[in-house]
Amino acid sequence: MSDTPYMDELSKGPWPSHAKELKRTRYPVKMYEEAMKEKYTQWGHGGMSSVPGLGSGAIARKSRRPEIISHSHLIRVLGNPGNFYKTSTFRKICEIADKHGDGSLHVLTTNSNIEICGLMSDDDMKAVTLELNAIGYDVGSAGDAMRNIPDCMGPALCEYALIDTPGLKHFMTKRYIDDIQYPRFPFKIKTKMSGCPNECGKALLHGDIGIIGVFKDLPKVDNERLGAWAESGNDIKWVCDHCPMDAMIFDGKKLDIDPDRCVRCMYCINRVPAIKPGDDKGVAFTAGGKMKGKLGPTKGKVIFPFVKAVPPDYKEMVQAYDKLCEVYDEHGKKKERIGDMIHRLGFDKYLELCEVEPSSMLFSSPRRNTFYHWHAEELEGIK
Amino acid sequence: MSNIGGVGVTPVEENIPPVVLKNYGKWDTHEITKPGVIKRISKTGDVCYTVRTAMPASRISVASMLELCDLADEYTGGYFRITLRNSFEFIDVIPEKLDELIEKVEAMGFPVGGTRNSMHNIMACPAWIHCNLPATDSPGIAKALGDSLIEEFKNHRLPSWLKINIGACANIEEALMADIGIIGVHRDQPIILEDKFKMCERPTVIACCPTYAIKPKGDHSIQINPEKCIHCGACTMHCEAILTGNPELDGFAVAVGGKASNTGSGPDLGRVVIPYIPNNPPRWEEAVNAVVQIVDTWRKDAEPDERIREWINRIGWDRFFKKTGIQVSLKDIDGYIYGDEFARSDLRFGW
Repeated sequence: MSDTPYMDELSKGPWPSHAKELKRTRYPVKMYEEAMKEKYTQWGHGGMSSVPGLGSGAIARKSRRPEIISHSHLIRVLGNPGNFYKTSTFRKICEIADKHGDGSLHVLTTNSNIEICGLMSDDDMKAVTLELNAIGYDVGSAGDAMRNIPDCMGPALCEYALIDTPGLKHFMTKRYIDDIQYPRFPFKIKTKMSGCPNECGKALLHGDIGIIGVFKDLPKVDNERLGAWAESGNDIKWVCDHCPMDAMIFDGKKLDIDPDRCVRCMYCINRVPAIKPGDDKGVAFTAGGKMKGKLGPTKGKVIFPFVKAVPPDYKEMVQAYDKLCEVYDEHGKKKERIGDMIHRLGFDKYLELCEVEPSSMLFSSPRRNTFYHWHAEELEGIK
Repeated sequence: MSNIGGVGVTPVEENIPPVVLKNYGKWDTHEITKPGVIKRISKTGDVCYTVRTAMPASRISVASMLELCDLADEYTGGYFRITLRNSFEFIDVIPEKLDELIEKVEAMGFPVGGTRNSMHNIMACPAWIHCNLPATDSPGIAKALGDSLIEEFKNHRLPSWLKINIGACANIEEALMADIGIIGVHRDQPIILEDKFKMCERPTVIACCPTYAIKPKGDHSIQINPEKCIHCGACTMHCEAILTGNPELDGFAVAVGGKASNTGSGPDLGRVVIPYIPNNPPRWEEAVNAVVQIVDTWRKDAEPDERIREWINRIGWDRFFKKTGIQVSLKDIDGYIYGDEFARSDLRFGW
């Protein structure tokens, strides 16, 4: 009889098995086996930990079963822009993980980090960091710091990308590396990036700050190509019927997009190769998306609907991003996520603090009460 | 000390194959030649084939990663990508060798698929493998679900995308953003280790409670009002001396209808439809049954190209519950801070 019956059961079947993977490493499999037997985790709170010399980058875990293992820490390695890897450098990461850790990796976390697991001491953590630094990789993204900035593949492989997300990620990580490695905020800031409103990066829903590529003018239609596409057996009528805003009008030869209806949702662009996004491209900033926090899951809210993204210095974007971080740093309470802070302050007050130009792009509907605050300055001379 | 960190990340140009660098920003369209294989076509006429595989939930061994690197070296120029749903993607595969690569990677135990109208890779947090907060075991559930839905991963036979995310506690790990999400649920109030509590910051712990259930007790401790506790786990995150979880009472909830894309009805978070299912390792039959039941109903009832959320928007929640046979309970009704917004304020019932 095997001493890991539960893990053996989870090793069977066609789907890739984490149990099989764990058995190929030096991970203490008994911890996982016991957890399944007792239906309860065997790991305890880790408290704060950091790589010596850095403010963040490591996560500590103590064990509730000291007879099996006393503790096991992990280190977060910042993932590459676009999550592209070269095997030659990835082999080096594997080598480092095998040398210092227990030989298991978490590829990838939700913030596009690679976690090197099973580190036992501060010396190991420091050695891992220095060895990673030597091959051009870095650690960070833990504690009350800015998180690593996950991005989609962007123009590297995708035809829909409206902004250069991998380039932007490289720029932002370079610029904000201190905030990623030294915690200074009330709580974490998860910044997420998507190249277009298809939102593969889930920036609006999950990002404390979301950066999403958008375009302002109407989608461009190549009618000649559209005709050829329709002739090769594709149904343009069906796409027109399913346009979420009924904005597509096809008269048999020419496709028109109704400027009063189109919301630039990418529906037609995803389905018809002859329709491409417009030329007036930029980014939208959202804030307050999160899964936990005090109020539970909240959706992000649009703060800056359209900001130009001009490489190489992304001046306007950096201004907007710095503003959001600054307001959070100043007004956020300890362990309060941006979404909770917006709720506490009031969305109108928050927009005022961010110095946003009021516009109809900022709400799905105007307010339904008249309980607003008039500042004394607004009433000056009347009162 | 000063020369640790501060490096940042490498520029994307260093990690992409020459054909991708040459066509950066010039891609024109893509075709899915078969499940898991994407052919990207550039305006310059170049093509780039990518092959996508499933990955084990949350942990992978260095040994397996190195084997995948070997395959990448053999069949591509030595480049790969991890997608945002944690699939492994070989980039720029030599077209003549596509079938050979698929055969080899499947023999290694990594099925190829997860594109277009199929189930995409399942995302899960580490949970019982390496976490102190979970109420359930995400990787275990992911494995059980993957085994029973493997054919949906390898074929394009669903109405639309199916994304499944699993989070083992109220931190959720993006579970509400997926078509079907599984969220760990605690049902017992936290335990306070009085002798250890002086290590924690009492004001932070008291302030973090969303229902004001925590009060100071004595000089160095707190008490939790069991009537007010909603088992969110906020306090356990900020204090080492508060433990959560109870093997007999923990379990998970099932949510449906999360969606991030702006197409259709726009982005929205999922809604919890099954409030509680008990843990049953290692095969999680109840979880598998619940998910398969929802997927089967959706498959039969949805129109082509209709994601779960769009399907529910078309038929309404009344008929969703009727068709799937899920029993509605008081726990499905939101009484939390934004909950009022979800009450019915019209008489357009779906009898």
